[in-house]
Amino acid sequence: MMYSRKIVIVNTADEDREILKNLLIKESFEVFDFDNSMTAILWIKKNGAPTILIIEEQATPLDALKTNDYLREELKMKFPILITVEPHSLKSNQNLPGYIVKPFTEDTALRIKDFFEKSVKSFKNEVKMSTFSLQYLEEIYDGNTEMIEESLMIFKNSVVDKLLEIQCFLGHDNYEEVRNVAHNIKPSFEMLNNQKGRELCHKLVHQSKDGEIPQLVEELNKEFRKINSDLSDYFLQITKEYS
Amino acid sequence: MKKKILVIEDNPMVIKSLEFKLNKEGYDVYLTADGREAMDKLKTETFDLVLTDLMLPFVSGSQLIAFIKGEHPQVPIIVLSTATQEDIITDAFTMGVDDFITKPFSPNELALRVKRTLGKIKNSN
Repeated sequence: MMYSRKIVIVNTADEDREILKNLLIKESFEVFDFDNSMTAILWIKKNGAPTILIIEEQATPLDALKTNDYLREELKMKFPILITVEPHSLKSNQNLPGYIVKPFTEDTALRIKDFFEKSVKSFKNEVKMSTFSLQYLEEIYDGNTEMIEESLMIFKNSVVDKLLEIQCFLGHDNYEEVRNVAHNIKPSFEMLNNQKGRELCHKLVHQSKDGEIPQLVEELNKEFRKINSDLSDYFLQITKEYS
Repeated sequence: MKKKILVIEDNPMVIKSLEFKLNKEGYDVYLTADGREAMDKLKTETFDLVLTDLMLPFVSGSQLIAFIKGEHPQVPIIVLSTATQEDIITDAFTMGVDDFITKPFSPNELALRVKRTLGKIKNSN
């Protein structure tokens, strides 16, 4: 499978922008460059997400973080962003998801290439694990791996308990409580971006007749088993990476 | 001094994320998983803000809101709801809640709404 190598650059200074553009073209990237963030946003809105956006920290009219927020919150687009910073501002930006220190050199191009390859790898993992995605958890926990893993464990342990509760209420034809529990676990599926689990919970709570509930519960259990299996693969994979 | 926020929510994944995000924003966070425990806490401690789900074990969301409005009318309330609870949200606003946020929440939106609600109260004092 071929992956797009489209990069958007936002940099005010023409000379710097030209240097970075040429370095990336040499590495076979397709480059679109802009001197301000709003023109870049409009281009992205029209042409779709690039593989990577490289934007200078003090871009105008929206700086790098505001541009990132705008793309995520308003346009609902998510793709990797690299922020370019001046050498003196490095310390204040250590918590940013990815940054590159100016001036742009051959080494910069190599770092971007490496970042691109990692992004593709992460994209492959997301495709492979189609029952869940870490996108929301990464956002909420600012990429804190420990917290993300803890949250995944909470999903595994808490949802299984709630599904057992549902089974128990179902055994007593207590459909009202089944709906309450489904309401409780709906955000858990949403937090893993699992659309099917979310929809099943939604149907259970709002759109189902009592007679339809056992079938929906069965489907929800099946979906949970699939996610659980993918989560086990995920934990196995990260254990291997650590060892 | 850090602002104290009481969170009443019974989904453990949502609780964890709220705790993480609010702590990071510099608030002191107190967690309870049901309305009864929340009422007990509210009898013994004071809070600057309550963040609550509406479908809770033991005590309903409206009972809890009525309790807070009766005992601590100055404490603002933000309701944590799901996107399809329009009727419940409307009732909650009628009872005097200050704002609502849908689950799962956007981190920036949560930070903004909490800050805004706390700011409003500070300004009105």
